[in-house]
Amino acid sequence: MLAAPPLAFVGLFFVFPVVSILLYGLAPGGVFDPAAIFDVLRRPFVLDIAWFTLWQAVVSTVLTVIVALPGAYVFARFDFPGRRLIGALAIVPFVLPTIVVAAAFLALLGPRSPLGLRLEHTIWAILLAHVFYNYAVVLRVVGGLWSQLDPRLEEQARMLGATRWQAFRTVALPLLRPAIASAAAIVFLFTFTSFGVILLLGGPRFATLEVEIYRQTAQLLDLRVAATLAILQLAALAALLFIYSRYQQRLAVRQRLVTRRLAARPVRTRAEAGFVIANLAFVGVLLGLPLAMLVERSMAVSGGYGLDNFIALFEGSARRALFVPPVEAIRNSLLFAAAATGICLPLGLLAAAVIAYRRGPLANLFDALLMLPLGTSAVIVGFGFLIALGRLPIDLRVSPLLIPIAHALVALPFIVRTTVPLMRSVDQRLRDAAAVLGASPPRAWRAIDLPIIGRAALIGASFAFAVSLGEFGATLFIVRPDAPTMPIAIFRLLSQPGALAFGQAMAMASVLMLVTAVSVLVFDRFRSESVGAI
Amino acid sequence: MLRLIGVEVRYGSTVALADLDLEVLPAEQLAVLGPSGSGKSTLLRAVAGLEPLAAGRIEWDGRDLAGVPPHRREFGLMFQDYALFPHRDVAGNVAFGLEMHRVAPADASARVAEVLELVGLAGYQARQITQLSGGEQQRVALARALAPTPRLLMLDEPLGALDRALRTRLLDELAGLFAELALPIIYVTHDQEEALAVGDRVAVLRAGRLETVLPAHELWHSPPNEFVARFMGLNNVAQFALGDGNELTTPWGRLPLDGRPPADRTRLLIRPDGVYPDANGPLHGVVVARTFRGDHTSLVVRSDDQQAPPLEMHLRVANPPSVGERVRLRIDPSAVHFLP
Repeated sequence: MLAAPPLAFVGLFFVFPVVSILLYGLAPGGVFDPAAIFDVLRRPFVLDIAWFTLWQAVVSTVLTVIVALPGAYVFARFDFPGRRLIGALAIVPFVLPTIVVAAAFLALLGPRSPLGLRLEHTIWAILLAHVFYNYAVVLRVVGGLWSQLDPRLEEQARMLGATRWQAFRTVALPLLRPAIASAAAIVFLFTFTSFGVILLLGGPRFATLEVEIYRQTAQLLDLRVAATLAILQLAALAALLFIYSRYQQRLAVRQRLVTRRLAARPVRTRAEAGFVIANLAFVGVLLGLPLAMLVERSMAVSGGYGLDNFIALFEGSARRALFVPPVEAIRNSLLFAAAATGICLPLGLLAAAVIAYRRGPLANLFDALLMLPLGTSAVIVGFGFLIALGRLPIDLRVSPLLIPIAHALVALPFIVRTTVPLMRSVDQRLRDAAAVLGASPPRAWRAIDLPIIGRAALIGASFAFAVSLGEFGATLFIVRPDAPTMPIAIFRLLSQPGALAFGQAMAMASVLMLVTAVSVLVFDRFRSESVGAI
Repeated sequence: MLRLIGVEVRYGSTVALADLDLEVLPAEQLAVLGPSGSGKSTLLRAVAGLEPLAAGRIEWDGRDLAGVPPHRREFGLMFQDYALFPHRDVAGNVAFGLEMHRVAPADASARVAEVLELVGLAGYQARQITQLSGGEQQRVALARALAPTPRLLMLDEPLGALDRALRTRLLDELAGLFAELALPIIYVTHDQEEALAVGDRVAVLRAGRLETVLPAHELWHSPPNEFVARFMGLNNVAQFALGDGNELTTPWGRLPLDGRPPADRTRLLIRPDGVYPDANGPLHGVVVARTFRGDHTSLVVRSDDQQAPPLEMHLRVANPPSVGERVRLRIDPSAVHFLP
């Protein structure tokens, strides 16, 4: 029963649109004609785009893993002043809206770069942004396991004649493989479906499937090609998830012997200190520089620094690009985010309760179904809305709730994933203890479960709010021209020529970055207090 | 020959080992005994090269090991919970050191079979680590440490994780194996029985400092101070005064004197197996506790002087006195030792 509302929501706003895309591609004009797909797939540009999508994702993933492994080691094995704070700050890029990341890299590498770097519209800009974005995934996932690996395994290898490098390669690396595979799968998923970064940094030369779906829909108005590309994308993602789950099962068996112990210790030799400092400096430059450049550009005005760009957000001077003064985009974003949170939170908590308290195959299936929107990308959600929601008896496409619904759908998997562990963390023995002490089951629930659920709700709400504020891919498809959100406004301003529009884009991106970073740091703090993450 | 000279190890501001001088002679089995937190494991880690020294030197055959990294020291180290590689089978674990030393695969598998046989696990090559019992894991860890023929073997609480019956059996086996190996060995334990059984000499650590290092029998028969005595389970320690003539005054009563104590001694120790009931004995008191220990019965007797510490005794008789019974006691003069 509890499962019904989330099921209905995902069914109507995810499954139905995706099925509509499939039908649109496979049965154009209402007649089932799978051959029609191949008409599109045979076009040479499709192969180019599919190939580019694949190889840029592979290269980005490999690069991110290689670059982030030493950092994961430093955070897992060493204790140094500021470790917790730097660890928390390092995840900020991962949670920043794509549009902010793209804007930050335009500030760093674009035509107005204060450092004189000119890398926009090159593959390097894309790869750098992807490493920047996903560094924290590897840091957290691999570092999390690494901090539980018994350091004596590596010491034992050293005693048996292995150099530091050999001990890493023969002992730590094989034991870390499941975590590296998980992290790589996540990074691959994100870079394979990369949209905002490539749209803005790649320029006209580079397009992933996602970007091409958008171009075909919005610029060339060829929905059939777009639907076919979306089917290709869905098939590729399904294959990826299938391969990954097979591989993960094979690796999972060996993890039993890994003991949880506090492996972090203070730095004791000069070489260790050098290694730690070099890594922290690298993290600082990789993650800090683009964001610093974003803020620098937002403050830059002709002949110095000032707040002119921020003040201009409140004026109508960018009216031509946005149809409305930029400050209205901020208002729209806040309203949409509040509405999305209102829709998503009850659904997410219901779903999390079902998954946390009812274990079994049905609950697992339900869990997997709710995760689907995460695995398919926002662009598909937006495109699906566009195609499907006109077919409903009530045309939701003109409803002001359309954008909040899309955002709620994108945020739902995140809310479920963050609240389920919290709900499960309630030790049954605590309830037993309360019962032994004379509490009736409802009282025990009130005293023990309710505070945890309250905290889960708070975390979920802040997360849904942040996701909604930054959502770009789905919104771009369904946004009404006169009601842009902040990411849409930034995108449009960046598409305009002129220093003023650029400055305003930087200013608005800075505001969005600040709001998101603060809400996520607050969220992270709550989360670590309750479940003791690294 | 291993030599530690003024060795100091620090963890931040905590001193884990201070000003430690110690030698391990060729083919000597040195037991290192101490309560938990006394720096035993740190000592092994320092010798292994896993902990940097804050001061002092560690030498092998007169050569300073300061610049020699752990993998070049050719010392074997066996951790308390064995640290077996979970992703390798038994042969993979034992062969690891041989691989690192680039031993040819055929020679390596011959050596693996040889050391597995030595520890009593012949034919275990293909077993997974997870399928082994605690005792078997301990032997695999030992075989792994021995495979690359280290010039020094260090064991950190090798029997610590095992149950008592298994420990007793493995202790005998280890003692036999060590004799066969003729290799210098440092054996760290918190258990005095193990230390005495294994060590030619026993070094006692206390709060990072070397309390004493003595041949095992000497340590047991004449512990050098109260800390060592109590750590060996000898608790009948008290102040004494020289009485008139051939008598000692102790809190338990007057004792006949068998030779004068050295001048610098202020305390005496009475071994519990040297106290026995005697109707004409000089000491008396009430039995307050009785514990049957299998090969002996342990009694605690309180004298009438309530200030006196309880006196422990070990009896090997069929009908020891019960709790509450008044007893008179005599003390075997050879069971009395004088402590500083």
